[in-house]
Amino acid sequence: MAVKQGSLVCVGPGMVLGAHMSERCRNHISQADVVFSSCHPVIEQWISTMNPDVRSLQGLYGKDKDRGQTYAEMQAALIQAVRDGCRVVGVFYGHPGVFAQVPHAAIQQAREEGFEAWMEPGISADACLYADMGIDPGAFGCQSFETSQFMFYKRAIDPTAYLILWQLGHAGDLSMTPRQTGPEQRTVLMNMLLEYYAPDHNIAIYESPFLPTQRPKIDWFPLQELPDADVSLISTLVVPPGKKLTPNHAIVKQLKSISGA
Amino acid sequence: MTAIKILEKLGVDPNSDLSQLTEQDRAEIEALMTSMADTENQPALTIVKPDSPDEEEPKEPESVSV
Repeated sequence: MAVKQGSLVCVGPGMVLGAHMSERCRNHISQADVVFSSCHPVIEQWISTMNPDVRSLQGLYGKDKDRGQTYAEMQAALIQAVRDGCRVVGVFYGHPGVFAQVPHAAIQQAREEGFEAWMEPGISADACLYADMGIDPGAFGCQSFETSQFMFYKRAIDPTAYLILWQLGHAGDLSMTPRQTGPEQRTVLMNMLLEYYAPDHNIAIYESPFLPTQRPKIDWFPLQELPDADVSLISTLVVPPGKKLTPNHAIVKQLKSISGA
Repeated sequence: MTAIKILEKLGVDPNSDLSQLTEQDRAEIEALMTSMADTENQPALTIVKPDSPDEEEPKEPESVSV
């Protein structure tokens, strides 16, 4: 199929204003015909200095409005501009493909309609988390889930690895609105985690800064205090390993026999 | 320099910090943050809906006499 005029690239400015944006990302933004943005309002102001036509998608949220509807409208806005023949850039804070379904869906739809569309990585919230908290995800392994999905579906987790639960502020949300959930939902989450961890197991809430003048928020507390923790819409829950790794002697023996060690 | 440009400079240069700013620069940043205080930020971009629960509980297995 011939590639049509009009294109879409989704990029990420990273998490902190000024600190994380690549030169390539900046060039995408400045060279675009139109830029759609879903970032913190201050970040959007900054992005607006790079292109004369930057349109915020944040206005599509509504207090009691289904977030699914909002995301569909975001996608529609991107696609319409592409159909109009524009070089479209979608800017989504952090990494555009990490815990962000709109960029993936928009790129897929644009490609299905015959347009060139792709995604470029940015510095994501988890990259900042590893740096700020001194966590190497390779040391013990790392499981990463969206909190509500973790609650809605049965999963077996590995307590010998890190567990990171994203969008903690929407934990157990059934309303699908932008509102935050509260201690009742976090009590349900706590009880799920108590199947794997002790009540006094230390866990942390992490929040990445978005300005270079800010410090990350890292609050440690025992698991049993999760319901009353200070949570916001940008909170992430970090649960360190609660058990030691168990060696797999049989497999190591097999591997040694292969290598002759 | 506008507050945004000041913040950008702070972000880009790891050796610059608030203490190096003039009073005017600090006031610009403060004014920006005050104007943003009531602005809503919606960071969530992923949504998960639960499947509907099964209507019936699984049946208990029949007991077998030995």
